[in-house]
Amino acid sequence: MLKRFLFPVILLLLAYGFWLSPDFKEIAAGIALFLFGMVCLEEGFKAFTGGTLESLLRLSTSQSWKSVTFGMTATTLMQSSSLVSLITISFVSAEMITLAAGIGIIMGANIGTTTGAWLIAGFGLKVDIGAYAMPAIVFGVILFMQKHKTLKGLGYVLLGIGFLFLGIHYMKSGFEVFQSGVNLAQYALPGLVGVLLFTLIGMVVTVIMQSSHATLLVIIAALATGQVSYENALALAIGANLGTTITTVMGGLAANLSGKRLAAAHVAFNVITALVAISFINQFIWLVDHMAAWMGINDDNYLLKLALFHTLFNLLGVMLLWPFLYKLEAALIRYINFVPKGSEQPLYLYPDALETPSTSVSAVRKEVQHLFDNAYGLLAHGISLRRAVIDSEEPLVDAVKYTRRIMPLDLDDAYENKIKSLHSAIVGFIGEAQTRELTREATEELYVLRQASRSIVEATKAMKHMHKNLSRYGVSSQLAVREQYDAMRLQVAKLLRELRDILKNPENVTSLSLDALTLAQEKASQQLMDNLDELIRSHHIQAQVATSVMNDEGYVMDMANNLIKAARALLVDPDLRSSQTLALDSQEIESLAKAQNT
Amino acid sequence: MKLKKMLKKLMAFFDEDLQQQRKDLKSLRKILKQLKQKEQELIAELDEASLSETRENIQNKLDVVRAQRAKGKQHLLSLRAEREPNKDSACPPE
Repeated sequence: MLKRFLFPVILLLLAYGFWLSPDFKEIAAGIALFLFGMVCLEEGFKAFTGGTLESLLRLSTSQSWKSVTFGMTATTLMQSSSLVSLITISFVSAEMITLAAGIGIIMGANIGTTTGAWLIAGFGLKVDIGAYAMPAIVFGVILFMQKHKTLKGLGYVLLGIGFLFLGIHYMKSGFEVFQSGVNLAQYALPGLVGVLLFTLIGMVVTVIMQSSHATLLVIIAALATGQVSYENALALAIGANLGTTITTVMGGLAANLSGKRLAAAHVAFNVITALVAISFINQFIWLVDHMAAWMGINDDNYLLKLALFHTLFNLLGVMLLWPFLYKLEAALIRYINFVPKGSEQPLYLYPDALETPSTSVSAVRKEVQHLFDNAYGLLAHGISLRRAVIDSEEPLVDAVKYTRRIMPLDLDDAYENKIKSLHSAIVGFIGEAQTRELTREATEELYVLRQASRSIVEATKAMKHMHKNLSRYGVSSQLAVREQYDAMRLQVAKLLRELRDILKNPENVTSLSLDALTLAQEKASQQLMDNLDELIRSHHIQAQVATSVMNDEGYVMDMANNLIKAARALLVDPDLRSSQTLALDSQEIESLAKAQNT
Repeated sequence: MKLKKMLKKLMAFFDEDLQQQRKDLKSLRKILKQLKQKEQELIAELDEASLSETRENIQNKLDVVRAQRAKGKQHLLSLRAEREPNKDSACPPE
């Protein structure tokens, strides 16, 4: 609502400003080019997120100091804390890194982002940066037009750097001309009121531009031309830091629970840092003066002093919160929770996960596991056993044998709520992911996972069909009939227990272990059919009931095959090609079963 | 002659099919080793198991592992046979 109103107002104000002042036009163009440069940089670095960045991220987050260093280095290199935050949110949400590691990266990113101020203050405004922009843009465009993904990405990065430099150049010249006409410094406000007001201004400007970097550029350019006082510039820098959290909060709102927790950590970190900086602003000024003198920065070089202040107060924030990193993680896990809505809600599919191919695949894999888990519970109830019984080490033969009644179960309702809704969400998410740029491996993995999701659905459908007869014959007074259904229930129960063990403790050659399950199913099926033939011949079972048993045996086999197929897709096998070569086909399984049964 | 040999090796290095073959061989050997280890574990488990149901379950797994190993060995032999002519052409006898 606010956005709908604000957006046209901002456009109108800008148009009015352009009409009023050509200098303002130049400053605004500078900001626009700077922002466009950042977008190009983000796009460029996204081209490298197909694997390198992800593996680096995973390797560099095993300890908190590593996470902080990674966040710092990545943000320094990419000059975009929002890209680093966004990727971190995706990784934490997909549970590829821990929340504590994510908080560490965000802390590091806050320090890394301060290098931008040094770059602009120390280099951008002193050197004719526009001259460096041109070659970067030319090379950038040439590379950008290449088909190769890496070269294209590199082209985007160069274009980004070029436009960043060009933006700085325009801002600088705009403010220089602006300075001769207007003096904004007369509106400078001393004291706490000034600090609070300019913090708020810095925050609002950053929210509008969605970039603390761009705000800092404006602050530094304004400070260089004396349009803003040094003290007020410091407050604006604090505001810029606070404003950047709004971007993360917006990202966090769209993310899942872990993403929300990370966004909350970012807000907590930046608010605490800002409060400390505002409370001790005079001490900070004193510290900056002394450190600047020690570093050889001139007393009147307010630009570098601002950069130093920016680094110092972010560094202090990290130092203050680092000891409480794991406590903060525990508090976030404890206090930020979902209101339980039932298991039908997707837990891992959220827009941020679509950012990179690997997070998309990871989110879908987790969601299919969630679906498998739901189906596991539903199938356990379908054969009238509690989930806890299958999860235990209790002999399944006894559990099946001593079942007194078939559990009343609305399988249609359970299927709609716990299976179909999730399957639809998975299919929708994969469809959305396919509209993005995916790697060949990711496309293949998503295809396999979608098939797995479908197999799970088919397995539960088979249970739906079988359950009707099970309710009728499962506790039949005719022992021969009941025994046939007990055999089928036992077959499913054993399969569920084995699958649980395999998926919980994936060992070496696990995907090949699934062949043993297929063999067990084949043997059980052959045995059941042999028994049934015998029962028909000896008139212990009516032909009408026997056909029901035959049909239901078919459903059990469908269920088993589909579950094994889904489990195979869920197992991550590093030697997939060779495993597939060694896996036994249906004929080989059948002949093994025959050999064993004879 | 040495230069020719080196060039052949360099070409082999850039030959994607050969690289894939090498990778396949390596991962196949790794899996066969793991399967052999699993077979030994299962034999040990079978010796200790007393319940007929457990024994049957282990026997199932053992049969499957043996069948997979036999299949794997066959595949390994055929991969090696495929590779030999390549090797010959890469390093012709002097």
